[in-house]
Amino acid sequence: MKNCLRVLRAQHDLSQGDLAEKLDVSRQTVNAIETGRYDPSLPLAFKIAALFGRTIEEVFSPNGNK
Amino acid sequence: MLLWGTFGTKTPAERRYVMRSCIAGGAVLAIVLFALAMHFRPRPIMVRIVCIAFGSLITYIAWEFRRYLYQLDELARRMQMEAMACTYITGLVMAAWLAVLWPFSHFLVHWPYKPMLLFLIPFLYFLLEPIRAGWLYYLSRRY
Repeated sequence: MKNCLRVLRAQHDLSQGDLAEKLDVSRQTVNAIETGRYDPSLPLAFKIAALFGRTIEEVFSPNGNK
Repeated sequence: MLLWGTFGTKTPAERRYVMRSCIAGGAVLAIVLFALAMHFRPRPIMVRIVCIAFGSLITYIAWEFRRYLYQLDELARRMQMEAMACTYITGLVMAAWLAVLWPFSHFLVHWPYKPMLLFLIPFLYFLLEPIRAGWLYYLSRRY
């Protein structure tokens, strides 16, 4: 699953640590999601989307379309 | 549980787990030292106290580890769970190979008949801890 988390994070001028703190996860988790090595749980995906004011489909895409 | 990846002290949950486990370990160590000083006398009672204390320690650490596990974030918990699953599979494979090798070893053929060696069996479980630590390290590098 692909995502545009890195772009959204840059747009909001957040570091991985800042985002991790807002999401109540570790920085390693944010990094793993950004690099596509880990797919977040549905609650975390909702939390990420809500944080950036987007829908889940706008942040995550199953076929690699951003 | 005492190896890499579990006894970190970065988060409050980790610190709490380390602190409580160390206190429990220290209490059991004190009991063992007291028993040693008394030369394990009165004999049957003191030996039983030490054995129960050691069993209680491992049970307590396991309980605290379970609490610690639920306080981890989802990726860290997933890594811990995957490491445990991989350790379980590794243990099964090792047990299978031990069973296969059993008839070929003179020592292994005779060792169940040596009562003292039976005391080693619980400690075989501790061999799985370095294996779990290895899996945890591998998985942490993968994510």
